[in-house]
Amino acid sequence: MEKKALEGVRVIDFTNGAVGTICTRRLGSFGADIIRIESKQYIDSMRLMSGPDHFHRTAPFTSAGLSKKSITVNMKEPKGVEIVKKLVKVSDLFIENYGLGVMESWGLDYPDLIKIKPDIIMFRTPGLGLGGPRSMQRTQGPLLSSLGGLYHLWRHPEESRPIGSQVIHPDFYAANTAVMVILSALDYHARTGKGQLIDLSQAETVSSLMGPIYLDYTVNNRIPEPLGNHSSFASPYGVYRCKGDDKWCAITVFNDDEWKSFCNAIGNPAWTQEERFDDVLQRVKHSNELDTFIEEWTTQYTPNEVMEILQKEGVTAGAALTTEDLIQDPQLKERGYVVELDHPEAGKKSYSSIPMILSETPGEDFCCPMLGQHTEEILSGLLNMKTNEINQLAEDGILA
Amino acid sequence: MSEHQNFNKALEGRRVLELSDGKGLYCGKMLAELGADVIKIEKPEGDPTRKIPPFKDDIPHSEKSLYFAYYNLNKRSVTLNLDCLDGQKIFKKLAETADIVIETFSPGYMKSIGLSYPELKEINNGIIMVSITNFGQSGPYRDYKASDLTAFAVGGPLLQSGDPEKPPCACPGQLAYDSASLFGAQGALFALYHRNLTGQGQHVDVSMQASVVSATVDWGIPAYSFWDVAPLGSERMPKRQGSKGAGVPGDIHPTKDNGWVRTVVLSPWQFRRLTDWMGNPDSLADEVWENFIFRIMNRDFVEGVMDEWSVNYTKEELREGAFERGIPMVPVQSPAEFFNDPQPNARNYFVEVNHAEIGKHYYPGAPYRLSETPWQYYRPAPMLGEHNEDIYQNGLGLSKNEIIALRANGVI
Repeated sequence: MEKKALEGVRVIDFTNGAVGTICTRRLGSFGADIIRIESKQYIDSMRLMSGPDHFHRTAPFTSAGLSKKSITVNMKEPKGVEIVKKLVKVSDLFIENYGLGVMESWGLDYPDLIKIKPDIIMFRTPGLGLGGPRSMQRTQGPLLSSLGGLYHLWRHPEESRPIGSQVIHPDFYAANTAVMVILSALDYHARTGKGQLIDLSQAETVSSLMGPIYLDYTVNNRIPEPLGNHSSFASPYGVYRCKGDDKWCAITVFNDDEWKSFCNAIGNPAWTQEERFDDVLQRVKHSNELDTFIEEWTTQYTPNEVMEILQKEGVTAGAALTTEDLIQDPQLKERGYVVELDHPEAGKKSYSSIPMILSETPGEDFCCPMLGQHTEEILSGLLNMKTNEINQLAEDGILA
Repeated sequence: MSEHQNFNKALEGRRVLELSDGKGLYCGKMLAELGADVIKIEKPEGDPTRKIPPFKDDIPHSEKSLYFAYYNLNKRSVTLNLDCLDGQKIFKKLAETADIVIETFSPGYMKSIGLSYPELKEINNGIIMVSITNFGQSGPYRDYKASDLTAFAVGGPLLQSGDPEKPPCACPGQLAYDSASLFGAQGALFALYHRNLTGQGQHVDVSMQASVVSATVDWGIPAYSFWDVAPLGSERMPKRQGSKGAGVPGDIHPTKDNGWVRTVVLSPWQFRRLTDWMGNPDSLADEVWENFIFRIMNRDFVEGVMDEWSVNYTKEELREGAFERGIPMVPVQSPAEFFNDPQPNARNYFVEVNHAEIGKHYYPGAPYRLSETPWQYYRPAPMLGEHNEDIYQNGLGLSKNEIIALRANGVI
C-alpha cells in the first residue's frame, strides 16, 4: 500500500462547480479523507450537465469528484446541520465555495466553526474574495478572466475584439493555488497547533499571472497591448500552420545559434541566407515575412513531424495537441499521466491524473462517489451511529 | 523545527534554495510570499532572467527588469558558479540547512555535477528536491526543448483558444511556466507535510507539459472518455469557438463606451431576469427560450439580440444593473481598469513595493488571504548577490579572504 502524504487529514467538503471541487480532489489524491456533503434534493449542477439522468457519470463531476466520499444530508433540517457539526469536530479542514451567505445561514461560518473545533482551517473561495464592495457578485470562470485583465489582452495584435479561449483555466489555476495555500496552513498548524481562515479571490488569481504586464503599467505608465503569439524580442516566434485541417505547431527561436540550427533542420533553403534575416534584430524587424517563408515549409508536414524534425536539431518546437493526441501522447503515457479507473455505471474511463511525481508518496486517485454512497459508512464509522439510528434519520428525511 | 513557536508566516523558518529559469520563478515566489526564506542562486554574471523585458523606462539593466522584479519579490540572492568543484561544495553546505531545493535544469544535469537527489539526501536526509523540467525526468521527449509558447501547444490549450477561422491564439503572460511552478510548489508542500509526520524527504518530478494539461484542459480527457455514456454536446472534441463560452448569452457584447461585457447566462431564471431588464423583447418572449439546449441551437440569434441591446449602455451601467439583478455579467476590463477596480483595492490586493533601482510602485499581490499568517511583502526582488555577505560570511562562516578568493576565481 502506497504511503499517503496527507495521511490522517480529514476535510469537510461543501464544494460545487469547479474551483472548490478541483481543490478538494487534489487533497484527496494525496490521501486526505474528503467528505463531500451533498443533497438528493439539490443535486450539484456539475453532476447535471449532461442532463438529469446522468448525475453519476457526467464528465466534469467524475473528474472533480475523484478521490472523495459522498454523504447526503438535508441542510434544511436542524438534525442535518447537527450531523455536519459533529463531522466538523473530527475534521481538520472545512472547504466551501457556495455563494457568500450560505454557510452563515447554516451556522457554519468561521466564528461558528471555531466554537466546535478551535484549530480548524477553513477555506472559502467566493469568486471575488471575501470583503470588498463586490464580494456578493455571482461569478463563473469566464467572468474572472474578464475582470482580472487577462481576457482583454487575449487576442492577436491586429484584432480589435478580445477573443479568449473556451479553456476554463482560471478555475483550474485558482483551485490548484488554493491547494498550495491550504498546504502551507497545514504546515503552520503542524508546528503551532493553530488553525485559520483562508480565502482566495479567483479574479485576483488571474491578474497575479500577469505580473510583468501590470508592472509595465504601474512603473512605465504604458497601456498593455495584446501580443498574440508574438514576442517583442524573439523571431521566429509563433504558431505555424501545418499539413491538414486546423493543424499547427509552435516554434520559438531565441538567438543566432538556435537560428542556425533551425536553418539546418529545414535544409538551409536559399531564403534563409537573405540579409533581412541575418541577425536577431533583422529577424524581429522582418518577422512577418519570415513567418510566411516558414509556413511554406511547415505546411508540408504534420505538427508532430515538424516538432520531431526541429527537435532533432535542438530547435524548440511544440505540436498543438488535441484531446485525442493527449490521450495517446507517448510522453504523457510514459509518466502514467492519463489514468484509467473503473466507474460503476460507465466502466473503464480515462482521466487526467497528477502532473508531479513524488518519490515516496506518489498520490493516487480513486473513482468519484455515487450520490450519497458513503452515508452509512461515515455515520457509523466516524460518528459511531447504530444502524437503527441511521435508519430513523433516513425515515425522517434528514439524509435526503 | 518542531517546537511550537510564535511566528506569523505560514512557512516561516523553511529555507528554499532556488536554481530556476522561467519555469520555477513563480514556484519560489509563491513559497516566499507564504514566508519561506527563498535564496535565489544566480550565476556570478547574473541570472539570464534579468535580461527579460519590460525594463523600467525601457532601459535594459540587470536591476531594472520588471519581469525579474515581479517574479523574485521576497527572495534573497547569492551568486554561485555550480560548474566548478568549489561551487558545488558551497551548494552542499547550503543544502545542509535547506528544506526545499527547486531546480529547472535539464534531466541529468544535477547528477552530472554531483548534486542529484540521492547525493543531497546523504547530506540532509529530509531534503525535498523539486525538479521542474519540460517533459519530466524520463521518457521519449525527455531531451526536447520547450518555451512557454511551445508548452502551451503540447499541453493542449492552444488549439482551443481563439477564433475558429484564424490561427489559435496563446494566452498573455507565461501560463505554461507558471503552471509548472504551481505544481512544483504543491509537490514541495505535500512532501513537507509528509516529512512532518515521518522525517522523510523526497524527490518531486514535475513535468511542465503535464502541468499545463492539469491547469487548463484537465477535464478534456474525461469529457472525451465519457462522451459515449454522457455527452456534453454534439461534438466529442469541440473546436475552439472564439469568444463564445459557457452559457447563452455566453459571449462578449459591445457597450456604448467602446468596451465589452461578458455574460454567462445558464439557468432559466437568470435568462428571464435578463430579458426583463431588456424590456421583454418579443423575439425572446416564448417560453421555449428558457430551455438551455434550445438557446444553444439558436445561439447566434440570441447573442445578436444581446449585442443590439448592450450597445446602448456603458460598461458600468451594465455591471451595476447585472449585479443588482444577480445576472452573471461583468465588464471586460483592461489591466488598468482592474487596477482601479474598487474590489481588489478594498482587499489591498495591489501592494506598494520599494525597489532601490526601480522606485516605489504598485505590484499585484497574492490572490489569497490567511487570517493568522497573512501573505506579506517584506523585501523587493534582490540585487545581484545582495545577500552574499549575509549568507556566506554570517551563515556559512566563510572568512573575508575566502570570499575574495572565491570571487576572484569566478566561483561566486
